[in-house]
Amino acid sequence: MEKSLIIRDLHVNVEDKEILKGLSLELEKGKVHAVMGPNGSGKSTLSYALAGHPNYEVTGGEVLFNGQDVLEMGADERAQLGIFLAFQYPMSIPGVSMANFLRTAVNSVRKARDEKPMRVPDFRKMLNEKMSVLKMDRSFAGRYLNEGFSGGEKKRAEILQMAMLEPKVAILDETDSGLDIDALRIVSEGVNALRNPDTSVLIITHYQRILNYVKPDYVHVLVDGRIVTSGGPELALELEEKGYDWVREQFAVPA
Amino acid sequence: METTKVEVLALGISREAVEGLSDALAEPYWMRDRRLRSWEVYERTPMPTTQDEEWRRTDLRKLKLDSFRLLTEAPGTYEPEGSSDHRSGFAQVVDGYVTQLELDPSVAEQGVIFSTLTEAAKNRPELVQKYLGTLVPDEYGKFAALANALSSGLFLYVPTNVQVELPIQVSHTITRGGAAVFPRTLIVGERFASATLIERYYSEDFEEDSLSVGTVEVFAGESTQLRYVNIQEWCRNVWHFLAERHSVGRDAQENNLNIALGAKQAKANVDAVLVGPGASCEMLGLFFPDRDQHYDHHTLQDHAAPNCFSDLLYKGVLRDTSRSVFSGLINVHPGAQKTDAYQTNRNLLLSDSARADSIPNLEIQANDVRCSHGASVGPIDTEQLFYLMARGLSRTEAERMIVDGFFEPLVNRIPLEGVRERLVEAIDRKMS
Repeated sequence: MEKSLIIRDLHVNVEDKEILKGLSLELEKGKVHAVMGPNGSGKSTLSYALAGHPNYEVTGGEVLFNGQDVLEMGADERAQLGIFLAFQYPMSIPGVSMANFLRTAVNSVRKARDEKPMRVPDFRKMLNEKMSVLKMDRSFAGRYLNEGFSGGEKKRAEILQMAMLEPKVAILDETDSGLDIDALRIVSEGVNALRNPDTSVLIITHYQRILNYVKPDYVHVLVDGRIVTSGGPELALELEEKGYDWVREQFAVPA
Repeated sequence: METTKVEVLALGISREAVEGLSDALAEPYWMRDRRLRSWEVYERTPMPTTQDEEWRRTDLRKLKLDSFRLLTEAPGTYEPEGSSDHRSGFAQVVDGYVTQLELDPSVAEQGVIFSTLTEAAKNRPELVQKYLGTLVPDEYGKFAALANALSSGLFLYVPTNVQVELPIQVSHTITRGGAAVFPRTLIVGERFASATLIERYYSEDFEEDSLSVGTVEVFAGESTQLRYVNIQEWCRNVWHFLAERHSVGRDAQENNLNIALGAKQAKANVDAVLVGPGASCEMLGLFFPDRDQHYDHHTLQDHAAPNCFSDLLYKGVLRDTSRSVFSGLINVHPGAQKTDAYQTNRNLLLSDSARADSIPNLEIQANDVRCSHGASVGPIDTEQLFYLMARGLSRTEAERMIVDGFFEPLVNRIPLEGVRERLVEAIDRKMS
């Protein structure tokens, strides 16, 4: 099976403290991978490090995207390649409308691929289509980016951005947190609608709840900065039942 | 058009220049007397130094006033400025001389005067004497006295009950280094009048330093609606001084907007005096210095009457090693009860070497008022930057987006589409 992203022995420090301690993971094209882990296991560090946040210092290992080393790239270059992070806590940008921002982002990505900027009517049409999939009111496009958005609106806005940017690797960082069941269903439907043979989805989550709606092909368990075990969807249910302590005991992690 | 400019940069800043200017303009004797009195005040007023509170952060030691010359003749010809803007009137001032002046005849028919100050002094001396120099008297400061001695410019008078729908535009330019200009605009709106005047200072690049000392006096009479916009886009070799004062009468609504993008060093005083009960004033400011530009804005919201409202918002973005000062005072006089006054200054630093000082002041001598002020200075939020870059925007694009967003609430409050568009373009140029 073809791999889109290969992470080998990744070590990442945050403020001089090692959080990821040799994490390895391979994402397959067209598949949904779930990484589950308890608080403090390094879930957010993994997503930020993959997206290229400057405060997450990679001290060892490699990350290959279609064979290309991405660790030397800035966040913008990674996004242009097709790596997308749906943020757990999206930033608000006052004074910048959602539509204006999305058009700039879409065209930045297109420019990096030597494609022409999208024509405004085409962009409008695409935006309206994707917003209706996510059951978002059209007035959303005119609102300032994440400014005054509710928790659910922010998550939907993240999925909308993902839909517009059509990434090759989509990382969802605790997208389910803070969502009520209706919002979770809508967001999950949005993610499912984006599944395609070219895109790998990486769902990073504490709970298996979202996995009831977005069925993973693989489940990986992250404990203390390493993937300690991997399996099929049944692993998520087993975790839910037995808890993370069970994993710790099973896969005694050296301190 | 062939431009054959007579270059006579003869007289330095001196009493001879004051007399020479008065002669050249062939103005009434009382104007000449006023100028000479102002010259005397100028001469005996010491040059401000950083020891003076108002000039503490703006150092004038490199300003060599004797290096500037006044043009003693109007420039031969200058390409008239074309424009597709819809406007009621237009004036162009080149190197201190009015070279073009037009007013829509249908507006003129209603009694609106738009002329040079010299003509107004000849034809309507009672009006000019009533207003000229009363908001910016010699005592306002050394540069005000200098401007009173050497300024020439334009007069806009809107009679009672006359609404001038389309803006009047004034464009000032300097064509060369070493020049001194003293542009002045006097605006009077009588009861229930309305008008908008957009004034722009602009120059192409030149090598030597030039000097501009501007004066603006705006009188909004009872229930008048006036809007005044000042756009400063001098080249990087201009020392810019501006005294811009607004008098807002009973139930009048005055809006002023000051945009600073050019010059080497700029010191602008923008004051609103609310003189009649129910007066209302909006004061907006946008500034964006880069490289070694230095901007100093002093503002005053002077509440001299009860039941008045003033709302000030000044926003600045600073690049490179640029520097800005905002010092704003809300002054509420005794008896100015039910005053509503707000003042906000926000500054965004795009570089570690840029510096913005923000100094808000309140002086309240009445006991039933609502006043607030807010100030902030800070760099671009790195998390915002990362968020945008994680969507594929380059660092430059992301910064530009954050800057656009920062100015947006202010730009949104400008109801003049042409000004808004040119402003967005100018910000883009500053960002690239």
